[in-house]
Amino acid sequence: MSKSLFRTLRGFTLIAAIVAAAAVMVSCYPNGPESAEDFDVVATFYKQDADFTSFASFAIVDSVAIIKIKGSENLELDREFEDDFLTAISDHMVARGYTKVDDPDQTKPDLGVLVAAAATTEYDPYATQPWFSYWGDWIAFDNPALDDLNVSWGLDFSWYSGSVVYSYDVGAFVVAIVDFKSIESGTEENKLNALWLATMNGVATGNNRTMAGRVLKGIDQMFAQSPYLSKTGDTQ
Amino acid sequence: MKKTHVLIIAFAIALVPLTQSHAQIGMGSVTWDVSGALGDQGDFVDAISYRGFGLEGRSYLSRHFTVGLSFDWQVFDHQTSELIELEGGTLSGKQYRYINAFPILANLHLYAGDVHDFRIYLGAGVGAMYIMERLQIGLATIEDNDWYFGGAPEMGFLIPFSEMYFLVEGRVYYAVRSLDDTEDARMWWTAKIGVAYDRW
Repeated sequence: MSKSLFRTLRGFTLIAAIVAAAAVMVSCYPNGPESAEDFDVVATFYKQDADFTSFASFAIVDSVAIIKIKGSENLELDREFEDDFLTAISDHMVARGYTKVDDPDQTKPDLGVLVAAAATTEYDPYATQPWFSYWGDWIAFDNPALDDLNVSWGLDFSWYSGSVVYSYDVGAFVVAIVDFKSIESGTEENKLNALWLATMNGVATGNNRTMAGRVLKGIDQMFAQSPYLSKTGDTQ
Repeated sequence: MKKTHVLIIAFAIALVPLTQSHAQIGMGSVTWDVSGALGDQGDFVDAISYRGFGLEGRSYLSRHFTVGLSFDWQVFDHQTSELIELEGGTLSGKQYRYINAFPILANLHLYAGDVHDFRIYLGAGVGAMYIMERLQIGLATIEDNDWYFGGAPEMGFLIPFSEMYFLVEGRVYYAVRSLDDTEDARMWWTAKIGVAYDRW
């Protein structure tokens, strides 16, 4: 073996080892979500010309409405922690300076708080790439010992193909605040004017207690990112 | 062009001897890249990237001047829970932000010092860069993948050891989608540490 070829091969070996180590180290999307909670998102929207300081009282629904989404595989929801959710929302409203009306038939509240939830199973079809067969076509080698047989050998992965469908459960928790005061004054008849909408989305996995904990945390976040929602003015 | 094809071509250029001459015809190198985003790119991913590597092949036009081709892959990732303020709303949740940058540059280098001695060099490269940007929040993913055109000035030095070199280099990349769209430019710096060897 010539000295130059030896040097080239030695260099190639070292370079190949370094590149292999680099390929292991480098990943397109490292440090991604690791738990269901990492997928939780809270979004809040508000009517920008609403004056939240002009309202004094609120009433909240006595149960969470279950939304069934047409065309989706809807899941049955357990009401085990329903009261905890409604209490948490009420506590936040009271902390913001609003007075809770327990009997809206007797005392008309300024604001109505509506709560709903939904859960569906989502399907994500994933067609596998036939790259196995690509490598199989590319890698072909001749074995001199088999020359007499006059064949060339390749790797055949054509037996591997197909598609995979992933399914996962997704849940949504929605809180809406509507203006009852404008109905009372007759300015907005037969129409509920929504002033604030908050939604929490996430992967519905885990036991009821775990998911309830995430919903309660989401309710806290809904109000934390809505400082304008206050009887006494901006809370921040 | 698939990344696999690009890497195979880079290997061919960097590692296969082109002639049987006794004189060095060029140099091949592989590096570990540490990078940091600048400008708007730095606002999107505010973190140092330790995930990157580069392959390069250079051919001597004279003892002090080479031309070559380089292929690099730098990965930026950044997690944040900062609020996203919208028109009349707010979005919160863990955000996973990624940039994968694949610069493919043709380079020129000017060297001080002789072959297989300690050498300092200055260089510049121009070429294409494929940049993949991804924002994942909750179950939603927003991607922006596009080809850019740009260049990178660089400076480095070669320290001989055994029959190879220890290579240290710094580069700053600048990339635009088009000459009319410089406001959306991407910029990042890269520090390269690796090994190089002469090709005979």
